[in-house]
Amino acid sequence: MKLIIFILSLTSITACSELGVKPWERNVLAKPEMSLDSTPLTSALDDHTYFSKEASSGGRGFGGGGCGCN
Amino acid sequence: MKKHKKITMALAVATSSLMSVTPDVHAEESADIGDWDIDAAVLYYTESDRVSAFEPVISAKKQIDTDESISLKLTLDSLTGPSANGAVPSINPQTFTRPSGNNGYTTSANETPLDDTFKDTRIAFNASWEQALTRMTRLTLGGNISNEYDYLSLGLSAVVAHDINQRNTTFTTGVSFANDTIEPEGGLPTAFGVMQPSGTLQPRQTDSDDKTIFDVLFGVTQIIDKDSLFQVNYSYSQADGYLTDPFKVISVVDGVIGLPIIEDATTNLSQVVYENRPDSRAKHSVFTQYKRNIIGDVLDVSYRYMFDDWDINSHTLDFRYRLKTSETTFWQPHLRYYQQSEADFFRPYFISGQHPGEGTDNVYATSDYRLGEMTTYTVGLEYGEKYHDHGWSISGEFYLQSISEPTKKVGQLVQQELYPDVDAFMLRFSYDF
Amino acid sequence: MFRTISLIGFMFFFSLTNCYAQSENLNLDQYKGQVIYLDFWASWCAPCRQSFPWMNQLHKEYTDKGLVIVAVNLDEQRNEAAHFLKTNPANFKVIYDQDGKLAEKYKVQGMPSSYVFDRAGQLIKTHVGFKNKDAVEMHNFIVSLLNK
Repeated sequence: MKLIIFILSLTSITACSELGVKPWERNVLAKPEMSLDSTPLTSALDDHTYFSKEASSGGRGFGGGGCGCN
Repeated sequence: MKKHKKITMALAVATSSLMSVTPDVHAEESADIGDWDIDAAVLYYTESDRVSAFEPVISAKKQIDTDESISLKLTLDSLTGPSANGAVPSINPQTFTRPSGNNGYTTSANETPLDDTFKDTRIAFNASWEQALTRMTRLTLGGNISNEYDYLSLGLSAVVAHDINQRNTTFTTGVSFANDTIEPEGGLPTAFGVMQPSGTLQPRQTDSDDKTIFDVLFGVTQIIDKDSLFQVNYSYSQADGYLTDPFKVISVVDGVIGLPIIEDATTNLSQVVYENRPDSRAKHSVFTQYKRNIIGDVLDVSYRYMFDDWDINSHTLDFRYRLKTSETTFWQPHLRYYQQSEADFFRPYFISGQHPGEGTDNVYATSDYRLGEMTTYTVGLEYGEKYHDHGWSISGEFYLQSISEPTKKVGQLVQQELYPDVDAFMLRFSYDF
Repeated sequence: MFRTISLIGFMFFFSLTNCYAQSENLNLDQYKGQVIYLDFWASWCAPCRQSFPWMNQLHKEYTDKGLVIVAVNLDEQRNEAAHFLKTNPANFKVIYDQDGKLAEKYKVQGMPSSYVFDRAGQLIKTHVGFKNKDAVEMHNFIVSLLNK
């Protein structure tokens, strides 16, 4: 049930064409610190630590954001 | 000194094969075609009176063309110090047998039993290759291998990212597959086998076993405006095979006075049975993250909800604020809140006569606090400097694990704290050039 | 007398504001008879760094054969563009479009974008992105237009 709601909300996001910027307006998004995983080494270290001390892991994704070049 | 393999730490490598994939390239940070972009970090983790870990990691990324890159990463993980074996504390001192079966260790009165045969070094290697398939679609393939004294993990992953709407929306789909082989010294214990005095035959089943982990991820990243974006992911993880922690035990205590039963009077060996977990686990996670630029500062908040078929569900809330103090310096406070419910087979201890018989594979129980009900808090602060061709940062974090104490306890256990808080400090240094 | 002074003053003031205009006007008619390579770039665009040496090379080889390169900068801050040009110098013409009006006019789809016009001033080719793999093909295409 939760899954169905989630998928429906995903499809509604893509219907929002109000959101977004022009290809030349990505100067801020192109900054390394604005990347969704801006420090992959340290986030991997953290994930490893929490995985070995807690019962949950992962979930984080990547892809998207950034300069959107090419 | 007998080695004691740390399964759960090594497990992290297998399930993180999707996570080891490199993120998108950024102009200021990216190397020109042909150069290697190097990142290094080291983590020093220490728990009060318990385990310590020293973990250096180095990665190198090379741009082959503007739309193609490869990335390599090497991680070393050195673990020392004791950790809880799952038995309960007692008003009397206790003895336990080491995993090898050759010698024993003692626990003082009113202390949490800790197994200190904990020295292991793990080495892990990840490689990934990213290539644009079409202008709007990118493929990343990854592989990883991790090895410890008696543990081997091999994994492969593939991630496809597709953009629409002038790259304002990105759909990500990823799959990963890993196989882990465990071959601990002394062999794997029999489910609910009773620990025997050192020097005698221990209840063991096989020398080695393995498990397979399959992960799939679906994500959507959406640019909101010039200064912000968010991401929502759903992931599913299926693990099958040997999922038990081979050296965690559960105390058997007297039903009235709560004292651990003495298994062997001559050595003062407490009666403990080896734990047993199901041979499959299905996890679902929903993760969402929001990042916003605020006059040069960056706000980063994320939330993850996880639920699985062991009846564990958890909430993770993470907050970071990167404060830009100059063109080259920043401070970043960090707060993390985590809460989980206990596994449906969580048993802090057994009353004498009520534990499953040796070899009962289809009944499950664990007293490992990591599958118990707990809340954890992390508070940290990072300072860093960033120049056009290099940068570094240092961070210190306090991590407190507060595990729920069982409400109904018998006898002397009422006076004992079965699950004291575990506090740790993490020091991290990173450098990139 | 007074009218002349005020007219001159007005023209002076007007030309001043044009100097600091956020978007320069681009009149491609002045290049009729030449092949035009119009490029849109920004300092934060990594593939743009790779494209500059390639454009410099084209400029060096084919300017006297009738090639004009016009690179339109889309940085919001002029100093970011200046910083980029220090480490990635351009021998070709660079103009500034801070407000993105030219980018809108040419309907830029991604960064960088290039538009190739033939000697008659017709837009012949549009390309998004910069890859070493594609650069050779683009080079040959430009040469074929120059030879017409």
